[in-house]
Amino acid sequence: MANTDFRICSLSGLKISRSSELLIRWNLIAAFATLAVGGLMGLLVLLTRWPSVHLLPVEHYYRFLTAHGLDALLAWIIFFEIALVHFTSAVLLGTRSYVTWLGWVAFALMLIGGALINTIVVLGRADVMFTSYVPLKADPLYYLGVILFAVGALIGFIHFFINIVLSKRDGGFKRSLPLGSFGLAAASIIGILTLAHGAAIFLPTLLWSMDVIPTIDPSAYRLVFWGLGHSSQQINVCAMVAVWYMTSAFVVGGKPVNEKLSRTAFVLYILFINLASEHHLLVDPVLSSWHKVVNTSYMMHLAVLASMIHAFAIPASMEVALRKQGYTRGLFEWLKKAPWGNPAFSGVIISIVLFGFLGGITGVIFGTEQFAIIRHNTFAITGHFHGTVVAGTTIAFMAFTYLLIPFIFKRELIWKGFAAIQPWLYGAGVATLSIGMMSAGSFGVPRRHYDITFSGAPFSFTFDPAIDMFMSMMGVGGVLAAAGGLLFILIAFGSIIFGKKLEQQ
Amino acid sequence: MPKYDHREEMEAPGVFVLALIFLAVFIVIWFAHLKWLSNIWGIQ
Amino acid sequence: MAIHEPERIWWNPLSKDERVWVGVALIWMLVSFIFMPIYHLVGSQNPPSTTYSVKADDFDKLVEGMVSKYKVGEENGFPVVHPDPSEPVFIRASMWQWYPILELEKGKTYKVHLSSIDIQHGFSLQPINMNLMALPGYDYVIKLTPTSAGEFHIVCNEYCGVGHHTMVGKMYVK
Repeated sequence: MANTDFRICSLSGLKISRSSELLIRWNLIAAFATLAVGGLMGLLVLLTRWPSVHLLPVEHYYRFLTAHGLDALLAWIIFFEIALVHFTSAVLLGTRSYVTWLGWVAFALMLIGGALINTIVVLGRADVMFTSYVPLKADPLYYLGVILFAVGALIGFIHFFINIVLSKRDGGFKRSLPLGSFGLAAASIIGILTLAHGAAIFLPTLLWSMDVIPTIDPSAYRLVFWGLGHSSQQINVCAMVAVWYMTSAFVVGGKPVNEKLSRTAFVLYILFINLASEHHLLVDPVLSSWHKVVNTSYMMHLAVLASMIHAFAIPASMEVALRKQGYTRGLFEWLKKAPWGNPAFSGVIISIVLFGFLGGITGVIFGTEQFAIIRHNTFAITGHFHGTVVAGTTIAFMAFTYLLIPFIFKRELIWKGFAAIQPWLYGAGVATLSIGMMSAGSFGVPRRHYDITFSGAPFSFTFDPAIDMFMSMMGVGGVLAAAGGLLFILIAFGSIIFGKKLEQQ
Repeated sequence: MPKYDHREEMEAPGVFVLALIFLAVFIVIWFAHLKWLSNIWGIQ
Repeated sequence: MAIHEPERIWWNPLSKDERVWVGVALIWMLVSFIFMPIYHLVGSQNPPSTTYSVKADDFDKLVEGMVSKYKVGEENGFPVVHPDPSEPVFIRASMWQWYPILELEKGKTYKVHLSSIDIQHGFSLQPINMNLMALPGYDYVIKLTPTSAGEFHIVCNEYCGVGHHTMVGKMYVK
């Protein structure tokens, strides 16, 4: 193996190989591009749901809502995660990405699948939402696009294990993986299980849409679909938590207070978190109450316990590190003196706080069997998952981008002042949006709904006037978030193209 | 065998306080939902 | 550090704050888990689980049978039905209507059979805010006890095509 293939990053001390660097770069570029598209779709959808604007006509609303879900939830996050796969299984270990052709095959499949999905949806041949519940039928090419994307992602996650096995052979690590890699190992295990569910449901659905299979049972579809649909959110949780740990280490030199505790918590995710997928079926017919209770509770909420452990251990690692730097006065001097101007640090703190308070609390509550009766399919659910995947995962990934651009692209950030406020702007926007949605949902406002004044319905119904305020909150928050998102896209692409080159050997 | 010391002092007292505040908020919101639930119609 | 391989021995005992936090978090998680089976015993709001498999045509016949037997009026082309609490009651979801309009009595318990004859719909009773799924091929049996009187609406909260937002039904409780 030629030694010239590697460089040492002068900022982080990481030993980075050219092969990993290229794979990470292109996966990140695809991630930023799909975030831009997904975000734009999100803004259009938001401006339609905001009753005082009500922008799009009805067909376009559902069409763009479908695209928003697929681009922002699936494509952006999974492209970023595949970049993290290579970052944690090669760069952190100081070895290269092995079998790089496989990495490019995965990337190409995801790219082709993503492009196919977007084309079919924008052409109006798959107005079926992210969930595509049967017997709502889309063009077969839509299901094919999802399958191509999922197979690409599956190969990407398998690549993690190929890398670490060969890295160990080459001395990348001796006994245990670094915690960041361990987190991505958990994410990859869950990823492989998840994408297997995807194949199990989308292959028959593809055949059904081509009239090869006569029917698909709607209840069975929902069960297996959520093995993909929700479990894929658990990949995000694992990857996000790994990003929290790594940022704490890179920015303040945080060391996990107890490796045993943090690693056990990741194992709890692997063991129990996939069960949680069934909390989408709490008010479905067919399943028995006991089945629902056991499965939806993440098996006695032990996976939630894992999140509560991480949410304690990561800020604790920061507190311990900052206290070592001399900020020991009182309970909170370390917090005041923390590097708030660094968007990687502030972004991760915002992500932890919002994920816990907005996404986490509501996730456990809405996933409780009885509480689902008063929250299922209301706007509160939309508020919940914007608290998890947007305020949690997306902000964490944005924060990590501010580290990856100098490490991997060898460029300085442009607009450092704007970058410092970007997590705050985006976080405040998403938090307002999420609280607005959850509050409106608690008054019964449905999710995925074109017109909550019900024009054209046989009976007129008006929600409690209090929702006007909450829907406006959502609107204002969403516009703020869109501004923060645009700023992120400009900074990311701007830095990659125009950022000052960092000289390294 | 390394010697295990049972560490009796707190490593991160600040975060510990913040975590307890989080738990308190969690419990309050949970009970608010229980109140909402008990106000709807009977369903079995 | 999370970016380096840990020291040889990383299986160390927890510090005091970690032990306490894991302890209280675990207790709270167990409480919120135990709540679910316990509320099935003591609470009066639990997701029903009685289900039958049913064909759309057969369900349609059951709905029409109830309508012809108990019809008391008509509103906007929808029959208003005042069924006997001792008999099964039916609500049919289709693109894009809830059929028929039920007139129930406060405090009486009804066995409401909910199903869809085409695609998936979401039964959302407003402004009570009770939400259940209506799936084609499955008859979901709900023991419903209205505890407040007045005029209520059923909104669809599962996406069901371009007419989704016009899918509003009505229900009375006397």
